[in-house]
Amino acid sequence: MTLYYEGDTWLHGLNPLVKLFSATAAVFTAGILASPGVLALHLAFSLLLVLVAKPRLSRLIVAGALAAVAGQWWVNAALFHYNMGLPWAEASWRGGLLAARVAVVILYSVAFISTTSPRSLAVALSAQLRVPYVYSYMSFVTLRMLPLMARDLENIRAARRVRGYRGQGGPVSRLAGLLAPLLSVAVQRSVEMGIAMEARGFGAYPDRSYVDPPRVTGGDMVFAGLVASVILISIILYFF
Amino acid sequence: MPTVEARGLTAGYLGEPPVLRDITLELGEGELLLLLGPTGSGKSTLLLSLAGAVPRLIPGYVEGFLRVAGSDPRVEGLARMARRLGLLLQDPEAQTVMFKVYEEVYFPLENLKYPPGEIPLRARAALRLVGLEDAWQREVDSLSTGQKQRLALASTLAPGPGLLLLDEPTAHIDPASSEEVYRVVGSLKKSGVSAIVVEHRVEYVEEWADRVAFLADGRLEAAGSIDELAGRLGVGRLASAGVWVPPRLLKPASVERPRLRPRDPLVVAEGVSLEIEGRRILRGVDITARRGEVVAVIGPNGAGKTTLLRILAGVLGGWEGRVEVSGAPPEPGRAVYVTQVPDHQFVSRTVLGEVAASYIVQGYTRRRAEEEAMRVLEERGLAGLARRSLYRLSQGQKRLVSLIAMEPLDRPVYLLDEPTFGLDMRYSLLVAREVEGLAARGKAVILVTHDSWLPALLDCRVYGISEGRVVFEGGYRELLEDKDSWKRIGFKPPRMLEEDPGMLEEYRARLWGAAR
Repeated sequence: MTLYYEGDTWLHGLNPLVKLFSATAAVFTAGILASPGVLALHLAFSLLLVLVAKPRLSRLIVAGALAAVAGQWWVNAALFHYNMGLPWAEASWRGGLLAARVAVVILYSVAFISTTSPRSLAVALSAQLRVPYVYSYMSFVTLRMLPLMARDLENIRAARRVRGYRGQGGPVSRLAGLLAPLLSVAVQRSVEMGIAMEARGFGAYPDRSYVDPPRVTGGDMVFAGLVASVILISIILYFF
Repeated sequence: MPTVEARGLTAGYLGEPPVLRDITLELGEGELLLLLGPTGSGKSTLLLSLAGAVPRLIPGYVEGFLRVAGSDPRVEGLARMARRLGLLLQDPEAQTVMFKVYEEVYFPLENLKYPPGEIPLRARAALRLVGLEDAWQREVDSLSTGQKQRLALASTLAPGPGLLLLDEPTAHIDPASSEEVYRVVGSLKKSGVSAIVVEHRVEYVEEWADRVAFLADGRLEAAGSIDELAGRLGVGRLASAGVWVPPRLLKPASVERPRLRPRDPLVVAEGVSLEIEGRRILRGVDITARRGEVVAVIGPNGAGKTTLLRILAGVLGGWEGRVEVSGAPPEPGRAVYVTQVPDHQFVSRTVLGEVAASYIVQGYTRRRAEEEAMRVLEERGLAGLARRSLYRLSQGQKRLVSLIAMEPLDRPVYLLDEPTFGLDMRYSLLVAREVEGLAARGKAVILVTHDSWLPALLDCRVYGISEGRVVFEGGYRELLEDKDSWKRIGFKPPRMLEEDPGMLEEYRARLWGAAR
């Protein structure tokens, strides 16, 4: 359900917060300083990071990402052409620049998410940024529930197909009919999970101990330095 | 000082009348109390009140004198009690929070601020205790349900609590895993850990229990043993409350049951194999089921039983081999498929609507469908439930309705996934009776179950599955004699049959007698 996979690439070993802030800074730079040169630089760098991360992406996700970029390109090109009266060549060029921003966001995100476990991010947020651990952990516990809900939904749909039940009323009623059993099971499970978590001391104290608290290492400094260099070059390319 | 001391304890949920009334309870160090009672009698409420979950986490009220492990849980709250008190619930899926096995055991220790250097040592010790030390680095999702429950137990035990509160911890797991859970509880008891255990299957805990208590109508009746309790309250009252009363206490009775005469094969599966995400789930499985026959596919959690059933139901593809259901390849709509979680198959809000839906899909008008549905419910004495919301039924009622609602589809093959999952004796017997009724009407019924006790009640053929392979095929009687197969398929018969397989008919006469 999450794009994260366990691996031993260089990016996997980096501090989650260093990756998060670096990726965010890079995304903003590419978004704000959106000249062709800057976007080309970020496309190349983010693609390099994705190659280093070696993510395990399903065909569906790859197709979805490509469709998002292509769709962005086409829609913007059409808007530039029909609304602003630009010739197709220029409209396509401008649409392409906007689509390139989307591609950069997707590539940086893939590099970050596929190499950062939800737990390590929660730990880093709490241990290093002093975010109350109850909040940071709740977010990843929610992620933990998603595969279970996906399995429930699959079972519900299978049971209906076997029964020959196609639902009643319009699309909204049919969707509601599908959601009722899904929510019923999810609520039961959430209540039990909440009790189980508190029974294991969750929230007993404002803070907690960490067996292996995250640290900023030399590798993190190198990574942050690389991203800083890309940002610096972006500024130079854009302004000079 | 007692580990648990409650006097005049009255408890309930916000805006509702008390579930527990004036309960007095005392539990000493190293004592184990087995808590019995019908569904909805307040067993879980009692455990949640002792743990501090009610009223601190679940809105409600707990009145009277209460002292647990030296503190008042109403003041401390569940989370702060966790160092001294371990609470284990039914569903392992809902109790495992982390992605890795070791992280799961670190979780309570880190929450309770144990020194970082001490945490791995405690975690290893807890995993060793439940036999999961080798699974240290494994993904939690890769564990079987039984292993997940043992992991949840390890996580509960890691802080070293002096009191365990176990709420039907074996409801979702196979007999071998259940025994393992109670073996651990028994060894802890010897070292001074106290426990209150809610468990329908008395046999699992009987040998460890110092006292047995029966909770009904909000009041507690305690005795030194199940025999003493049965003598005081009557076996009939315990049986009607759903307690798996040890068969030695039940009187054999002659009960008229349908005589099954299996005929031509309706389900034929040959060499069925399936790999999902690089993991072999099924390896060359051969099974058949004939018209008028009950076939039980048994095996431990994670053996591949549900996967096999989903293939036969036509909702899972990608398999190899040959499968025929009613003379054609499997596809949705060819067989009836009753899911493991009843909620998954519900399409209506009320019991009547749910049964009627199976007529509506066959082209009945709504009015006619509801008339037929009411007739079906009346025949089974369930007309009183007709207007009830499905989501407010007990688990036993939901399971029974999920089965009955599929009967009107009247297809030749019925596929039942864990039909007695988490059910007490009363509802297990009702389900068993429904299953026999289907076979008597000429249906081929395949039920997959990790419950070794259900097939004992039925005249059925058994396939034992282990790690995706059929490792046993024969009658239940033959299985009782084939002890070599037991371990491989996580089989553990009721004690009476374990001690003397020749008592099978006697066992059935006693259990079916209790169902009358």
